Amino acid sequence: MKAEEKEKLFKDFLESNEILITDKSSASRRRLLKTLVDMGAKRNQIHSIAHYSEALDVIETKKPKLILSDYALNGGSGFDLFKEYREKYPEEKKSVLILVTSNISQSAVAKAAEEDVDSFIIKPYTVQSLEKSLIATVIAKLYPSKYVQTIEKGKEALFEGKYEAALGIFAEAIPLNKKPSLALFYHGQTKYMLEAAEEAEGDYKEGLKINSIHFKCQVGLYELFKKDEKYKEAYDVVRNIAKYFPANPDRLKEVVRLCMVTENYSDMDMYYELFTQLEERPKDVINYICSGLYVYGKYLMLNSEMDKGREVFEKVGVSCAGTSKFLSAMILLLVDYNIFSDAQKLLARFSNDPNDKSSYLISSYVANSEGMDNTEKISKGMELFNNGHKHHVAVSILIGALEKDEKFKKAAEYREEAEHIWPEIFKKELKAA
Amino acid sequence: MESALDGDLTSGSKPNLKGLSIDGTSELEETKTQGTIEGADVSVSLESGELKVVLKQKTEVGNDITFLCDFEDFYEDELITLCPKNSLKAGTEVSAEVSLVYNGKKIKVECSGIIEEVEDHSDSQDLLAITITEISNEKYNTFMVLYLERQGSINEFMELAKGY
Repeated sequence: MKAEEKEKLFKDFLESNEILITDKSSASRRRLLKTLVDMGAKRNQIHSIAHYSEALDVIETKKPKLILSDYALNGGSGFDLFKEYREKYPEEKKSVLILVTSNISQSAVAKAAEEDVDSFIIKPYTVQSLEKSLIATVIAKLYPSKYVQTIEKGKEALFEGKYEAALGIFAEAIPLNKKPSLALFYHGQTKYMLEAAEEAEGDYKEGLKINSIHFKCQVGLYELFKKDEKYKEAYDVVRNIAKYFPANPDRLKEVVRLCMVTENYSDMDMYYELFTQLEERPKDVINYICSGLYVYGKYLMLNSEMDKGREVFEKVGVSCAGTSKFLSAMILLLVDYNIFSDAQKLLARFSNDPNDKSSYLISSYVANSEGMDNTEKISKGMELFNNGHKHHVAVSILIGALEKDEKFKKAAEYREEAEHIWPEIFKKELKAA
Repeated sequence: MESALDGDLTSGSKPNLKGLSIDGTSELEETKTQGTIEGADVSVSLESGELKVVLKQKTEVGNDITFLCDFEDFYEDELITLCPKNSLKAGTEVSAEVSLVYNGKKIKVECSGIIEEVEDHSDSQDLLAITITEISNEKYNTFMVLYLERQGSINEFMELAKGY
């Protein structure tokens, strides 16, 4: 199609459709609106909105065919808006959904690609760059290439369960594009539906050989390996996905889990970096990251890499938002390695949650035990224990102090109780002695 | 690890990593070859780039107050930025420095203007629209050339990731 023809078709599209602009800044909206009107859109068909909820109303009542939305809106996001639109109009294949945003982070871009956003335009733009992007996106959507049309036809067959027909159509699509990763992905998906997992794997790998970033091929291959419990292979793929598409918190959880299963602990440095770049950090993701880092730190200390281990524990301390299970686990381990200063620093990170009181008191006793004289160790240790704040490390310190003071009878009483509560630990200790 | 994820991290103070490979790093190298994506090298840039806006305003006694702001939008005649709540008022003069670091290059554009509009954005920030009265067009154009390089990388990445 010639450039003039594309421009005319684009102008016709602008003239004949409702358009929604959503941006928190009225100045940005005004500029975009003016630019669209200059390009041929009708002023009375453009809806300029700041708030997410109002944008939803426009989608409901006007069914816009072109949406230009900022990344972050008042009350939601551009992604949420597009998701709502697609759910409301699942049959609508010719609408164009574009992000126009000053968020230039790669994680935002990757999320847009993952969510199948039609285009990602950064603010500021020049009129020429905006027009070029809009024309390319709108024309590609309204008049898809033969390659895309063939894939769409194949998808219809696939969704109707006509697998053999779908395979034929996807095979037709492959030579229509220089980098037919998408066609290979759907070919693989169809093979997978036909329970030919090895052939599906071959298709996904072929797609990635051509284009190693291709999102769908990576996910297809990962799902396949995961289903077959090929964890090392699954991990390699999901590690790559997390590198290129870092914005998905659920995937980060999965990659951390597999990182542990496959014992690639040192990769946790990379996942921590990705974690710090997340726009939102849900509680369960914090839990996974801190758990992974904790194991990584423990592994480092076990291998005498104390400085690096301490650095990792510091990251857990910063990221765990005062979660007592991480703080107390690190404190007890640090004390085990005689790193009392770090253990004491971590005490300050406990929250004021009354549920964490016991954990804090035990951690505090253990971390500060180094600076206590024997009498204090005994009095505080007994107070803790008798008030129900029981932990084997704290009791070990107490028993040691009692024995040092030659209060053997008292020490034996506590030991007996400790053996009853933690038989594995104390009977083992006795055996070793 | 499973127990760690389930919250059972405090079950023992002694290092307890069952099945922990001591030679973890060499294993990592090895695993890279398994299930590896044998793709052509990806040359697309994954660099985010960095945008900063600093606003300065003179007090009545002639001192400069500096505000670190978030970038929102920027044209030769207008700068839109998110600033600390209630820090700047409409109708007052400000000077601004907008800097972009990308692809090993850094460009700083200095300009000055009048705050045209202050919009309520959140509990901590206002959205300011500043009408620019003074700017170096040459520097602005250099800024846009570099900024459009980022747009080019974004387009390339989107195309590769989606595969069409």
